[in-house]
Amino acid sequence: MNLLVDGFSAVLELQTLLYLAGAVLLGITAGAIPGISATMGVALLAPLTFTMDPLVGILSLVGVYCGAVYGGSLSAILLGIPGTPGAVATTLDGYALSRQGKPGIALGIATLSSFLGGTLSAAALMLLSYPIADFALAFGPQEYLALVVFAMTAMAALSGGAFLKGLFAGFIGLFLAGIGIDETYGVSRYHFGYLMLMGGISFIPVTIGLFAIPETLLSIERIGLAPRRALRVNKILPGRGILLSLLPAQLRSSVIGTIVGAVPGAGSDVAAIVGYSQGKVLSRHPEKFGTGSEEGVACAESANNAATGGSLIPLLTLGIPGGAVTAIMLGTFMTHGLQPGPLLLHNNAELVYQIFAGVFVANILLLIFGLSGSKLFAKVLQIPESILIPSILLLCAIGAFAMRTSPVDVLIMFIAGMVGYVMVKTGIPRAPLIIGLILGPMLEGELARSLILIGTDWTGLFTPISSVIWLLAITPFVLPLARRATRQFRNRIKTKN
Amino acid sequence: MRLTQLTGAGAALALAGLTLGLGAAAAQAADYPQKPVELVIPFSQGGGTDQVGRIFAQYAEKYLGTEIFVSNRTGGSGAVGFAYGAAAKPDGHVITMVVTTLAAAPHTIEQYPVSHEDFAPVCLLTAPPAVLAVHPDSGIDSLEDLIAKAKAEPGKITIGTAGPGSNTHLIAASLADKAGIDVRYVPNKGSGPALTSTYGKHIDVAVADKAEVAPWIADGRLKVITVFTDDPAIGIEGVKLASESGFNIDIGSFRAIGAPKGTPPAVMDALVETCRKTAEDPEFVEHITKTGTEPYVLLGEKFGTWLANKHKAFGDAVKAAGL
Repeated sequence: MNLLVDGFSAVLELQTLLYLAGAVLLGITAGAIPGISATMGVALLAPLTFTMDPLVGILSLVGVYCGAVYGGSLSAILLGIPGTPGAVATTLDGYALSRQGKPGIALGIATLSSFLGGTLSAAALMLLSYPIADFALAFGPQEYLALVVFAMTAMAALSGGAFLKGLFAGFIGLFLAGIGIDETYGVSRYHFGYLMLMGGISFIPVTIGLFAIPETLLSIERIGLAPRRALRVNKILPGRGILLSLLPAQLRSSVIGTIVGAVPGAGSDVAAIVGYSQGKVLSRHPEKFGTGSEEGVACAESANNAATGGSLIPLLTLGIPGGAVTAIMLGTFMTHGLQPGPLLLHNNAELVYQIFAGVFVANILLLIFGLSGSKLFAKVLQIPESILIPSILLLCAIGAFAMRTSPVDVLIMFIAGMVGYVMVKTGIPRAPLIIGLILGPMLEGELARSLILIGTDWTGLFTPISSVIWLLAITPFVLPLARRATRQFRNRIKTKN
Repeated sequence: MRLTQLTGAGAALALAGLTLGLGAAAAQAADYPQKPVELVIPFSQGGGTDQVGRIFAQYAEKYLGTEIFVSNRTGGSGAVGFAYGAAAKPDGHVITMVVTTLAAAPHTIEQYPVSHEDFAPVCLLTAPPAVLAVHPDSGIDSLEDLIAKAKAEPGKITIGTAGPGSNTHLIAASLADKAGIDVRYVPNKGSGPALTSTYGKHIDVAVADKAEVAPWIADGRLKVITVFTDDPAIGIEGVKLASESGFNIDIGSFRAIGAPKGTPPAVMDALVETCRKTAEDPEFVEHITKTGTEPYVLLGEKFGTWLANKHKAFGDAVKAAGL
């Protein structure tokens, strides 16, 4: 307990706090710019932290990470463009709320949910690190395979009413994911000898193009048709009734996000997808999802921010980086001569507790910046379209380019944009395509690894953990059928009587 | 010349760059560098290559006398970044991290568009040997143990590698070939997941860099049963070298710097000199050692010969492995 108090007092020292606050702000900005993801934000900052005091350096990265995952929701809600891949699910309901004249409420819910998710995962990091890390280690290829399939069922949740169209989009995503050199067997596919395709299609430019370009084209179509309503963001916080009704979804999504984040290899994007689709399955108003559901925003945003704390669990307790962001952090730790893992708590207990405290404080800062800044962020909606649209396009092009410093990605973004426009016009949902693209390589890799491990024994796919996940995966499809069957059964009994 | 397999436009550009570059660069060599130098990293931010590259850039700047900015041009198992770096104007303003993949991939990936011959060798920075790691509870105590087990139950032992055609895969395949054993290879996205899988007891053995395994040994979470090198100086204390067990397999990973082929001698000299001074900078040595890898430096042509040998060794391993 003393360690924790000392941890907080170290983090709350003015200089450290200023660095952390600056990092959170930087992260929010980076996340809000389409194409600059949390990974890139952290990667760009990491070299600068090498010369800092270890605590300040590591906390700066934590701050940018938490800020960026939250920041992705800002452009998702205000512009309909997911700032980071983890905000794709947020785009659906957040932007719809915005278009209904409630951008403030959407921002408020996103901020509160992010704070809640982040804080709960920080608490889990502090109290349950070791059991959660052990659980995450139990994930082998078979468990991952089940998890990926589970996440893919989200295609249904993200399709709105158009399930078949969503499935179609999802398969396009899976196909695009297959382009390039496959990571399991080294086979090169579908690139027709073009180097640019050999590198594969990265989901960042596709995400930006698919969501950003159609939005700008649609606004151009609207110009002159109807005067743009000047949106005034008066209300940030929804009523207490709504807040209370969102709480169960937020808590559930926070748990999902923490666990998914703690599993090495699955980051905030997968967490948001799983959190959102589970939210829809368990919601009392699943039909509202995708049309401006406050619950939808809450589910996606609690889950993706909970993944930040979750992903620090295997890093700090086992020294295992769960994804790109924590891999960079591992490098930073080692550059400071610190080795994350079981011995870190033993040798550097002070630092570990300072980091725990830092994650908490970062989330509180995020809440303060989010709530106080929402009105300012929403001002973006008052910018005249003649300035806003070109600025968005420019930012998108920069974001797409920056990812791999490749002009090809800018081209891919524009092509994705044209495709996205057609998809909007024909009512084909875009989010499932991104899911296919993100999950495709994981699905393929884990399937291949599972098959290598189990050989010819198919029952080997069903380990205790994977069986539970498989059950969860089929629930949303079986549940409605089961409900209908029981209803018919009851009716039959009634008519008999 | 493998670059001929580039796209039409790319080849034309490369050719234009080559002809323009040669004439102009010769005249400019005296006052190199004239602008910031780009260090191409063909892999993503945060990986081992990225880490070494960024640390190198940080310290080399002051010796080169200009800013060095890092660009991650990723994709296609390094193909995108290597091809960009090889086709850049040969005036020393674009240099590339030349790593293990460049020696291995041309042998294993069809139509891989670039090879070590497209680069002029600047310097080798690190070359940690590969090791075999097992869970301490696995009951496998030595390479001999592993081979005996694999012979008793053919096709049962699972070996995690960093992916198809990676040096870790080739090492496992060479070992299996030489020892006459039948094992299953589990490809991963990098060595990290292979080590995690071993620690989680999902697979039996992982092949990885000594540097990557170092922290796991320190914690007693994994046990190293052999090191693939014949140089005891870079082995691990108390662990038998593979060569001592009769397996001369030495295709560890490496990280180095290359310039485009055709870079004028004066510019090459400036780059090699920068490397030499950086490698002698105690702060650089300390920094890079902290990341778990000791520097292992060879300069200019010496590194070129070493690289050509590596390329051949990988080719031999690929043939032996029957990939």
